[in-house]
Amino acid sequence: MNVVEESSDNLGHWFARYGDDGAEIFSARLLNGTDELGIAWTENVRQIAPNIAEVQGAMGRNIPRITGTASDGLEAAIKAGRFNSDLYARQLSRHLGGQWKVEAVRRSGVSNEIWDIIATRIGG
Amino acid sequence: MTRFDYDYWPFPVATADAAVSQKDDKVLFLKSAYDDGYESFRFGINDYGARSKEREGCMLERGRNRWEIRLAEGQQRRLLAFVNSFSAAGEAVKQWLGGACAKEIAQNISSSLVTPPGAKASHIITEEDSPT
Repeated sequence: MNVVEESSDNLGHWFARYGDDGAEIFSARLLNGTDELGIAWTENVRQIAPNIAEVQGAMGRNIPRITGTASDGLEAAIKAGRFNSDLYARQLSRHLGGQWKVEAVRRSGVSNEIWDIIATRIGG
Repeated sequence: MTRFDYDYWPFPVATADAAVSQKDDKVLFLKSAYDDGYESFRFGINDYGARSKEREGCMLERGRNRWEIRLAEGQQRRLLAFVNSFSAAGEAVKQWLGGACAKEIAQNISSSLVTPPGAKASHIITEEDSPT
């Protein structure tokens, strides 16, 4: 099953991929007015770049920025020093084109541990 | 507001507000937590939270109908849980701020718990609460 366009809400337009059981295995919202893609969930972080590429293909233009909040599993990888931002940047380059910078940033201002993942297309 | 900023309630909710409307369950949560004496806020793209002096609860949007709850006491995470409705997540946060223990909250939201594909479990209680 491919990534499919879903309904819009007041923040933007949803895209999702479903598993055989109907559960959302990937979901993301293209934000109104910015073309930024906010990743809500991915079952497998290794599949995220191909899924985003399908969204970009449906849009018909380049996605300039991708953001999301690390899951518990990804958070553990970050804290263990196993989050390879260069690897993810290369995967985005391969599937979306262009050059990418990927960062994991610990969110300040909350006592809960929350890591923001930010991917930025370099040079437009 | 950037993705790293926080909107603390009360903030103006215009008719065309990008994230919430006056009747939205998110606004009801923000208002209810604030009225109960807690600091309530919105952050990220569409994430929410509230805190007391000792405790904090955050709700992260994990799909069109899925929310992740993170409850912390100080810097210590006590509960991480996935639910299928914002109202259930909001209730969990308010119960946490009101003094409920993580195990009790997990039981209270059991009918709303879901396990997202790729997640190990519907909820993780990090540490047992001390009896009070």
